[in-house]
Amino acid sequence: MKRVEVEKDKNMTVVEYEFDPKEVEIAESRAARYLNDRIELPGFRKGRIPKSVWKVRLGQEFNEYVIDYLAQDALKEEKDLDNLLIRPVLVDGKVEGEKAFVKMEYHFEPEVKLPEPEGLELKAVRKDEVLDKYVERRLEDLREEHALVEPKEGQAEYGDMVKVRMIVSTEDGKILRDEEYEYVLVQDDDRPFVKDLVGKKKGDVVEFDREYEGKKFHYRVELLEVYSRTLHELDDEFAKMVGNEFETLEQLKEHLKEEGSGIYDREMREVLRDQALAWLVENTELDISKKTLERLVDSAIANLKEKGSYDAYVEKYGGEEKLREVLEGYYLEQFKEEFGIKALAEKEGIQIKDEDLEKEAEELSKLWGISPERAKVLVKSKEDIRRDLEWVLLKRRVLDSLIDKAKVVELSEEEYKKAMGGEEENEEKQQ
Amino acid sequence: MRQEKLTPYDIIVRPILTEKTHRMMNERKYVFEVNPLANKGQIREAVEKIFNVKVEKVNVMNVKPKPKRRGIYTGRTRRWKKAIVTLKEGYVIKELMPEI
Repeated sequence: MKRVEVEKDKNMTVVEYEFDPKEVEIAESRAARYLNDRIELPGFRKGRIPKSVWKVRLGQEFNEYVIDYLAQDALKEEKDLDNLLIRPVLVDGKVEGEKAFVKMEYHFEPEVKLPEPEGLELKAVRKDEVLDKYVERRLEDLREEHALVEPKEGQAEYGDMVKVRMIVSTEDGKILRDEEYEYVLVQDDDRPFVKDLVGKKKGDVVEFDREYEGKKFHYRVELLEVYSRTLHELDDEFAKMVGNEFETLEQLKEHLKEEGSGIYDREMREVLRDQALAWLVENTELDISKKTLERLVDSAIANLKEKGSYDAYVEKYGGEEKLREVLEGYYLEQFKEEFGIKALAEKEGIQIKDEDLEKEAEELSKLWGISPERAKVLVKSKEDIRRDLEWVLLKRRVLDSLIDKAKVVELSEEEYKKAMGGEEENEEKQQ
Repeated sequence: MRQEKLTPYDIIVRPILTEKTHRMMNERKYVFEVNPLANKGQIREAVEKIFNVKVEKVNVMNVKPKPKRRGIYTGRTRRWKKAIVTLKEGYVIKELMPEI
């Protein structure tokens, strides 16, 4: 087999292989054996059809089988295929006389040029401002939660609590549910068992039909009791009612501030990570061939056609040209994220070790609702879970290292909205 | 009634490709289904013209219909004419035996 590199464009290499008659003959025999194992022809016993008969019967199609085997031989000869980005592409193959030629495209992981984090500026909302609003909102929620409820004569109004007996039946009269409920009549709730109860008195009945998944259901809501709700004044007494540990309103506020502070830290960290990732994707340069992206888009489009959703996507984006453009942008962004993160991790010497995975598994066990031990075993034994978790942790650490190097500017909520909204507007304009 | 002249492509209906006929090709013998009205001379001429070879001899036989039964239905296979064409030394029909 002769190997000649005929083209090189960034991460893509095209190689042409020339096979001598002996190699072609072996490939033909393998193709004939493959066909003999699967196909029977009248006039021949199973597995006894000679190579020449396959050539006569299949013509060019037989050569395609031969080319496939030759392409496999070519792949075996290639040594450095560990960092392939997509599967090798068989571009061309022909059998000419006794010789054969095969052309393969190899798309490797692209070289990455990382941006310098100097001057990276991330934006955060000022903590004290957020916390003040959080405490205010939580106190209001607590007031609603601890409202004084008293039975009331007369009509139900928005803000009152009601006790109802709700009977749900099908069209043919079969009772599906007969239960008592207590709930507050909230102003913006348009559901009939809220809206229609306003103005009704104890003992009144409201009836209506509702439709779910094409079936009609009949509702009978009997108003059993109306309660007025009185919200507490925000004072030390209220704080004591919320929890025994609070003596004064100030203590309660302090507690809510601490609670909010934890939430702020977690959420703001995520916001900063998102900003750092967006910066990384925008500023990372990839040495990637246009052909690589084209191949990926071709395969995505073929996939859409196979699934039958191609037409819908073409209509959504206004033509195949536009759809291809969107897909190309998507792949480029994905690669910039993946290879940017990997390159940065390598540069900074960030690695995910087994103990990191175990620690994360312990955290996740609470979410998954299983014991920490079971979560650790799962992460260890399931390759896909392990890989996903490794990637999530690596990404998180790399972005945190970027945040550490960046200048975080604290803004008021209004300034923050303006700054982030302004960026979005700019992006829209660019598009 | 005057019969219309048969063209080479009317004479040779199809080659018969089986394990046995494939073996026979090594002895330069090729088996065809031919038009029942064609004679040896016409078959020789047709093979020479279509495949660009020289024919040494032609043997023909009429294949009799065989009784066939499929479930409750009985019937017969069709009657057809078979020709075994032997080529002169050094000739080969590449379309049927590409590897020689």
